[in-house]
Order: sequence, then C-alpha cells, then structure tokens
Amino acid sequence: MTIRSKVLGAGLGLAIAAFALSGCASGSRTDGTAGLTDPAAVVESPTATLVVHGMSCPLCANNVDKQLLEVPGVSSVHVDMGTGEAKVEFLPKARVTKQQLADAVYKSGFTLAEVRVP
Amino acid sequence: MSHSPRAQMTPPLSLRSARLAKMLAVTFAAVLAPVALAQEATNTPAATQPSVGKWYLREKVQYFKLGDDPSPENRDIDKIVATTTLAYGITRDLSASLELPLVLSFEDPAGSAETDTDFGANDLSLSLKWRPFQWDLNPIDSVRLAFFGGVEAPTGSDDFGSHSWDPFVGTVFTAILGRHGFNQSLSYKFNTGGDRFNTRAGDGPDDALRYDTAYLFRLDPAEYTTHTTAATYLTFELNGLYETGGDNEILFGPGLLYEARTFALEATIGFPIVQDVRERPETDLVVTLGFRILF
Repeated sequence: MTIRSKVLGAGLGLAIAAFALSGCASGSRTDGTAGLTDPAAVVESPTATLVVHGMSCPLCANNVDKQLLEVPGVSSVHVDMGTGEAKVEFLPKARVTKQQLADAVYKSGFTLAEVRVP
Repeated sequence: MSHSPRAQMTPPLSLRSARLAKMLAVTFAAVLAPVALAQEATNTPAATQPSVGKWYLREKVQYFKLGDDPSPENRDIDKIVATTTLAYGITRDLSASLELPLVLSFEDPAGSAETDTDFGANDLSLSLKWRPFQWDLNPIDSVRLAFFGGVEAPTGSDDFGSHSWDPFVGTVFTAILGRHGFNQSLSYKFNTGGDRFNTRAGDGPDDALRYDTAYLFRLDPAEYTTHTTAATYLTFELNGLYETGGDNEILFGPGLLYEARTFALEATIGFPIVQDVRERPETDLVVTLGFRILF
C-alpha cells in the first residue's frame, strides 16, 4: 500500500469519526441559550455583564466586541480580560433580550457562561 | 554547498535599482494588504478562525536563503515571498480562506556572472477549516480541534507555480492553558504535478507531509487584568516537511508575537535542525515578518 493510499484511508476514517463525534462535542457546549433563564426577556437595565469563557488573548476578545456591537440597542462593550467579563451598555429605550446577547457571543466563537443583569 | 561567484559580483546600478524597486513593491503590497488570528504562531496553523461574518487579513513577508541546489545550475537562491491570507467566518465552526503568495526571486547559477531576477505569483490556495471540537474551560483556557482541506490551483506564474491541481487535507489541535499555548498540526498534500528541483519546499512532484508544532509563552502580562489591551508572546516552532521522494527537513523557529485588540505583529527566524534533502535546494535560513488585522 502506498503512502498516498494510507493517508487517504486515514483521512477518510478521521473525517467519519470527527463527523460522528462532533455531535457529542457540540451538544456538550453552550449554544448561546444553555443556562439562561428566560432568554426571550428584554434586559430591563442600562447595562449587563456577560461571563465569557475561552477569551485567551486580546485579539480573540475583539471578536466578542464586534459581535456584541452589532446587536441593535448595544451602545458600548468593554471586555475585561482579567475576569472574562464583557460589560455591555444599552442605548436608552433599547429592547435587547438575553437571547440576542447569547447569540452574539455564540457567533463570536466563544462560550457564554452567564448573563448578569443588575 | 554551492560555490557561486556572487560574492565577487557587484550588480550594475540599474539592476540593483530594479531589485530594490521590486523589493519595495512586494513590501508595499504586503503592508497595504490589510489581516489576524490570535494565539497562532507564524508558520504553524491553529484551530482558530474569524467569527461569523468577519474577515481577517494576514500578511507575511518572508526572506528565504536556499543553498545546496542539486539541479545542474547549482544555484544560490534568495527569495522574498509576500503571502496574503484572507479568511472569512462562515459559521461559528467553519471558515474559508484564500492564500496568495507573491515571489521575488534572485538566482545565481554557479559560474555565471549574471543574477536571474524573477517576480511572479505562486499558486493560489483555497481552503475550508472546520472546528468540530471546542472546550472553553474557563475565561482563558480553551482546547480545540479542527480539520482543514483545500486545493492549490494552477494559477501561478510560469516560473513559480506547479501548474497542477494539488489537494491537501490536515488537522490541527490547539490548547491554551494560562500563559501557555500549544499547536500541533499535521497535513498532507497530494501533488499531481510539479517540477523536480523546484525552489518551494513541498511543491515538487512528490506528495508532501507537513508536521508543525508550536509553543507560545505569554511573556507579558503574566496575568490578565481589567486594563489588559495587549499581550506579547515568545514563540517556538518546529516546522517539518517530509516528501515521499525521501526528502525531510525540520526548521526550528524562535520568534516574537505582539497582539493588540485589533492587530498583531510577528517576527520569526527559522533555521534547519534536520536536513536530508536531495531533490530540491536546502533551506538555510527563513526570516519572517508578519502583520494581522481583524475587520
């Protein structure tokens, strides 16, 4: 068997295994709503704090800023690398839900652990 | 080693001016081409990708010094390669990327008083990266596994491209634990064409297996704080290439990576620690400067 055939076989096997196992991995991680109480509720506060896991470097964390700032009603975002928290401020009369915030963190590629509303 | 008379040659002013102009053009193109992915060492992939709907542009400018050319010309070769990478986040776990290397090459055949200067594009590479596994353990630590695959299209210039469709597949594991980052990548390229004695490692007629390892140590800050907006890393890479014709080469590359919130700068020097190469010129030295931006 040539090296090329071995690599093709191994690659195919790996791809099938990864595809089969990826469901397990995805199921075990936060998809943006896990752990949220009443995700459809509007955040009745001028600020919220999101606890985000996996923001391992400054440039990575920038993805969180960018996604949260695209949520209509979010006026500013400050990511605290020390605590892993993203502090979000809303525009006056904004009607932002926890679900929208969770979706933004999900799209940024990180894991939302908690949403704290004062 | 080859014995080029280059050391005794002084190129005419017009030739040197043309060289300088081309170097500046490559560098200028590199700077203008705006990019970034983080916790990724210079020459080793990582299981990271831009977030959904975001672009990332990365520019690497590399100087290669090649020697021990086995071809009849017995060339001494210096190359400057500016590689532009543009990646886009399709979903949280799937991204697409495009990579285009531009090459400025100086070849001194043994016994010739002339330097052959050439400028052109190498083959365009298109790829997809899929990250099915991601465990974010706490605010900083993360473990990820991704698979990637793509093709090098025969779009290169006459003197640089392989003139063939060359598919590749690979996988990369990334672990970031506190100040320590680790990336391990393995990829295989099925070369369907390519010339013997080519000057781009892995582009010959033999298939190419790349095995890359990177370790990153966050020098500063030791601990992230509320006010952290940048970080500096020491990087160490082992970049291996085995070609099914029997050639094998491992380059060791220490470097520095500076990351701010919107950009990153990187510098690496690479030199061989294992070299058993008979069908293409050996890599004596690689110096890399890079710039990354997320937008």
